[in-house]
Amino acid sequence: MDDIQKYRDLFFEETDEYLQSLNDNLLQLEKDTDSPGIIDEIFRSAHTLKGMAATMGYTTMAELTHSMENVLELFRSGKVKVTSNTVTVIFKCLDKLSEIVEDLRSEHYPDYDIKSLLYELDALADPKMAAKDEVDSKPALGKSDEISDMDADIIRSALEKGYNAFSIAVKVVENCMLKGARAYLVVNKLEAQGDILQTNPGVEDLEEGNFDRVFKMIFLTKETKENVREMIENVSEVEEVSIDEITEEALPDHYIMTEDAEVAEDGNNANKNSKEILDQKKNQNLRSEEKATTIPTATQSIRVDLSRLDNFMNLVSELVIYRTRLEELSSKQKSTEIDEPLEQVARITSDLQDLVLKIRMQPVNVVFNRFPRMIRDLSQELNKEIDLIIKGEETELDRTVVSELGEPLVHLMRNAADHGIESIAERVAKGKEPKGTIRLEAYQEGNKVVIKVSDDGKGLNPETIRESAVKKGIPAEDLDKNELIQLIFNQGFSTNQEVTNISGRGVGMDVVRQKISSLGGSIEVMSEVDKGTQFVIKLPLTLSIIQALMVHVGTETFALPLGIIEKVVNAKPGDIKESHNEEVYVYREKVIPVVRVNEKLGIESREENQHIILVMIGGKHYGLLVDDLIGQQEIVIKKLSGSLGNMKEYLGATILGNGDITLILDVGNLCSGKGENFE
Amino acid sequence: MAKRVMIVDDAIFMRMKLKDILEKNGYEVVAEAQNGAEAIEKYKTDKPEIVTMDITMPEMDGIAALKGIKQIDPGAKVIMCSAMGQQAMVMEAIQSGAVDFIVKPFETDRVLDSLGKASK
Repeated sequence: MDDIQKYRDLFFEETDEYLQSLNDNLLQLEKDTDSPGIIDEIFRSAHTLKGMAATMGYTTMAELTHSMENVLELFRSGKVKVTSNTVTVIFKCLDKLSEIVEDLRSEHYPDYDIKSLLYELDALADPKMAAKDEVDSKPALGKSDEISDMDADIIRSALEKGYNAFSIAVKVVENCMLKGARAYLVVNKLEAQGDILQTNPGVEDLEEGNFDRVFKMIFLTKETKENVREMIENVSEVEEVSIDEITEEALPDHYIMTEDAEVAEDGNNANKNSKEILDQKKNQNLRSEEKATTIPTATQSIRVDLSRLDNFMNLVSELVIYRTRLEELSSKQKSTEIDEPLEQVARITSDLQDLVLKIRMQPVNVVFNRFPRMIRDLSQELNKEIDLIIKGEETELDRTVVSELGEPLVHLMRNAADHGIESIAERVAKGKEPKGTIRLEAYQEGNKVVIKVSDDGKGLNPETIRESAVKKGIPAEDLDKNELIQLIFNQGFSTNQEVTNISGRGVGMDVVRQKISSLGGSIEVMSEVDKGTQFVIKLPLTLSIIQALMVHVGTETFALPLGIIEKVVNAKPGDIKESHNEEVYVYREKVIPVVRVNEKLGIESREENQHIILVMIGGKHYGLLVDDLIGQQEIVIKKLSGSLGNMKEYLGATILGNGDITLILDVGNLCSGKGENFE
Repeated sequence: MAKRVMIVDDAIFMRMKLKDILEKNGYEVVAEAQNGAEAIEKYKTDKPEIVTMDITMPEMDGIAALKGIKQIDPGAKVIMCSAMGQQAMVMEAIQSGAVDFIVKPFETDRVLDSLGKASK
């Protein structure tokens, strides 16, 4: 395969899509085994995958998809009924395929054992079908050029009418695929110019492709030998054509023509009959042509490299910046002439900005669509009955957020299925429906997206948490119920006694929370014993444009993401106290650590008009001491690159209206290491 | 003059692959379509001399599209692209007037052989 490498990316991208669609449709099929539309859809996905894999030279993948296709074809034609067992086998194939694709992606080519899978697939198919493969090497029929008596008479009368009769042998190229169709193409072409009297092998075997590389025909036509040759040679994958003219003398002379007019007559009738059949076929064709008149419209889309979108975003934000500068200049110059076009520019740039943000949006569906399968498998594995209800999967989020969301959500869903939902017996004993329900919901709320994962399972027991907390040395005696539940987000906290296959593999809830807050979001949990548990995740719509609070530290200006700020207070002398050798501030009767931003950054503070910014990071409060407040502003985050990228105090930078560059503080990093002495 | 070809296939990957083979060998790919309906529309506007037509596609499959195109232009040269095991479909296509068919995975020589013969 020539320069196949450059198609790899495209291949994997498309393969992922087709695998996903296979997955979705299989789940659908399991619910509604009679739906022909879904089988068609599944068949098509398998078929396309096969073609793509074979083109890339991924033989195992092609082989597996080919077998899947064979079985699916039987369902499609209604020869075999779909059962839940078949769906399970096809799911297995799908898993294998995903595994193969993953290995291919990482350029890892182990030997796969797909024999057992292939066997299972075969078993699904009708045993007759499986046996058929072995019969295909039937011996060639009769002797090649033997012309039957009847045919001889037809040939004679045709010759009289000025037809030419040819004995034609066609050899197809080696490894010719779909030989039957290839032969049919030749036959079809010839029949447009005359009549084929006889084929060797017979028509049926010919169309089934039951011949080696050569097939023979007797052909009556008014065309010349050369034209016939050209016609056949014009079919691709034909290697050799040999044509012999049949003369009257060469025909067997069992009968004397005049004496046996009847037979000749018969032959003509036969000819007529075949003509009629052909006409009928043509009519059928016309009818099916009429059927295909509805033309559905398809939405068009193109694929774009994400880095190009990022570039686009950057350019648009620069445009916004210069627009603001122009506005500033124009107001200084007091030239009203420029105001009107400038307003237009302003409008267009903000439209552009909206547009590019929208382009970067992706529906959460991309993450959600793996869950139906996951829950199905989990419920089988755990022997529980679980209903998954997904709502709002069309809710959109910035692409970067969506792609990071998978892992924490998988964790929450697994927890819900494993620890949340009780076993059937337990549920019945509690007087609940035997079937548990897990809900996954997403919706937009202002400039945030809310994702809820809830189950109607056993809920979190605050008392168990308390015990576990005390054992781990976490002071939990005077926490109320709600506070206790929030403890599950603490590092190294697990109430689960036994580690099962499904959850409790060391990825704790603290990791989930960390991930969510690294995305600029928050997570809360609500739970009631025996009623269920609900996690509420709130995420910003986008990561690239945020609301920020602009502050002064010394003579420098910094931006702080507004999302994490709870409150800003004026720092009066004496507000900041010493405790455990650290500076603290008392907020709502709780002692919280104070971080002097100027000290952290090595800047001299002016020590006037100081403010404490109260932030919430990972469930803990911190106070950031800064000098002056400037105000709230929408800023575009630009990543720091090169050696600046290593400075962990900053999230990035932004350019202000006056062209100044301002650094955005990474509050999480500034606060880490503070306040560990108490808590 | 390079022959003007339209490629019809629902997988971008397949279209790219085929386009690459054709363009490296002196054909001009004037249009691409990802389903049958689009193929018929583009056949009208772009008037390709040869069409390569995938059989299994969403919306409208290759055979329906072939028939549609033949209705617009009975002399249209449509080459079907099929995979192993689609014999019956290929035969139906031939009956409906496909000039030839090529079988996936595409081998450069065979694709060129077929296109070359169709362009005669």
